[in-house]
Amino acid sequence: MNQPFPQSYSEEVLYDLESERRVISSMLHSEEACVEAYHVLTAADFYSPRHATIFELTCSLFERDIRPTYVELLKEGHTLGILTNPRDIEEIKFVAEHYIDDENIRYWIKRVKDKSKLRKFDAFLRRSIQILAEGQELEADDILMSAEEELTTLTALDEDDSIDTPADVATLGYQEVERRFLQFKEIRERYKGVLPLYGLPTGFEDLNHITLGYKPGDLIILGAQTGHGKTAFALHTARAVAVDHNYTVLYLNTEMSREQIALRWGSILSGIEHDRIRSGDINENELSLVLQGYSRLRESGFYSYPCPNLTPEKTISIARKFKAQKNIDMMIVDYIGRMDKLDPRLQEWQMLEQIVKTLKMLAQNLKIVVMCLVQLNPDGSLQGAKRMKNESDLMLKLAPISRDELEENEELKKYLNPNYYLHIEKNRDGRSGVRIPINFDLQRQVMKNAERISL
Amino acid sequence: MAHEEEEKKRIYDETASLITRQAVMNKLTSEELHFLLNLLDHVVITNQQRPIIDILHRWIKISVEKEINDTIKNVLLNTDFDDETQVAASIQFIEELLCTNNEEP
Repeated sequence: MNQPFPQSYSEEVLYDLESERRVISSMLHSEEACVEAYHVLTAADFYSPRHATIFELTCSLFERDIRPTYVELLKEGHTLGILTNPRDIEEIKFVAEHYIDDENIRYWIKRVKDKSKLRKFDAFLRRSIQILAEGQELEADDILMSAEEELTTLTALDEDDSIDTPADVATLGYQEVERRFLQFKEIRERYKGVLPLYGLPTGFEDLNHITLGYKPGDLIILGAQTGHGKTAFALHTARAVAVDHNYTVLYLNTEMSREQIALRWGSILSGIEHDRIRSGDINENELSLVLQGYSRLRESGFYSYPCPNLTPEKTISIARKFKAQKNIDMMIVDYIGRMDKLDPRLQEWQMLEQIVKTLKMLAQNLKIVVMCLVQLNPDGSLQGAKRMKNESDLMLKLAPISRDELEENEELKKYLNPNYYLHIEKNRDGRSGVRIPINFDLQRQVMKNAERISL
Repeated sequence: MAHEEEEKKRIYDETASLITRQAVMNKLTSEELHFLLNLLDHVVITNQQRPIIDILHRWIKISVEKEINDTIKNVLLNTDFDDETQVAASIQFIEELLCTNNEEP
């Protein structure tokens, strides 16, 4: 005969206060821990309501870019009226004392998360027993189906994951098409046919037209040979997105110093040759133009993070932090060939593949656009190109137009001073195999669509 | 963590708790709490604000009128410690107030 279902079991199976304290304490001592815990946990994962409150306070400080120290927590707690008696202070102090190394933070976070899942499982079991205890006429298949759905959510899916039914997909699809139809109609009537963007502006009219903008979740790869405009393209994109349209961009640069990046902006935003800006060979009027340019940058959403020792892990951490604190719309990685590999046994192509996969995952999880720049071989090919292409949503190559082609290609003669091609190698959402003639003013670090000569 | 660092952290935590306890027991206002915790942060963490500590010492040693006491307190509570110009201006102003008090018969 089956054993009766136990009425109760040790509650300690369902919580681990020590792990909760260690996670929060680590957040109070280390930014890395903050980034990790903020991304993985929610207040509901804490068993102790007091711990949940302290966690929320800590996250709230972190989101506002205030380093969540013990003192800041006390200030915030008092301001919000959460600290009402001396015992509350002692509790926060007790939690703050459980400091651990960053190395272990993932372990303790997992412990908190696991206990949270067990509590949900416990609740599920209790509900199931309750259903049987009520003793109504029940459809066994219905009960089992519903139980299976709940269990699947607990075991395989994150809380915010959901399975779209055929009806969900159809409704979503129709709503998307209808929204675009109405928007298109309005734009056609109001703006005489200029296509609306569904994502971030690319900085090139033709590319906007073909892609309808860079969309959240997209991974964009831009390849160019050494000295052929990778950084110029990155900053041109940043200008279009962050300066001209005030979206928020995080720019990670692995090879340039803060000063070099800042100086490039002087040239981009003033239209003065970069060599002259660098040497200071400008007149007072030009200095005034430079100042105006930097005023625009000051008001923009451009955040720069020069980091010569970038690794995929560090990229994840930085992206999560800036998403939480600055709500970034886009991250640009300039460039991935310079990123450090953690495992020296990896071949170059394996490392690039790993990085690109990480970046795609980041784009999707954080719902941001990620653009990464890669270096092309001297023959224009790309190491690990096939794998990169698979992961990317949009793959672009920037290359100079040869003198021979300029002389012989009749189509190019219809443009004013084209000197580079922007080649769309892959476009998950639209046309590919297109080459857009552009004009790249290397001295002024400015790029634009080559203008068509009006006949 | 070296023993000295551990001791410093312990004192820092204890002091912060002590200040907050006073606020929770309504012996300090919210502004006073923020001022004291900010001061603590600047002194212990950033090891700055020596001039303001010096002026606070002077203020404690000198017996001043209630009106001047209140004015000094107001100035301190409204000083942003992250703004060096403001801190310097506040110190200067408090020094003047303390001098004025000394000059009076």
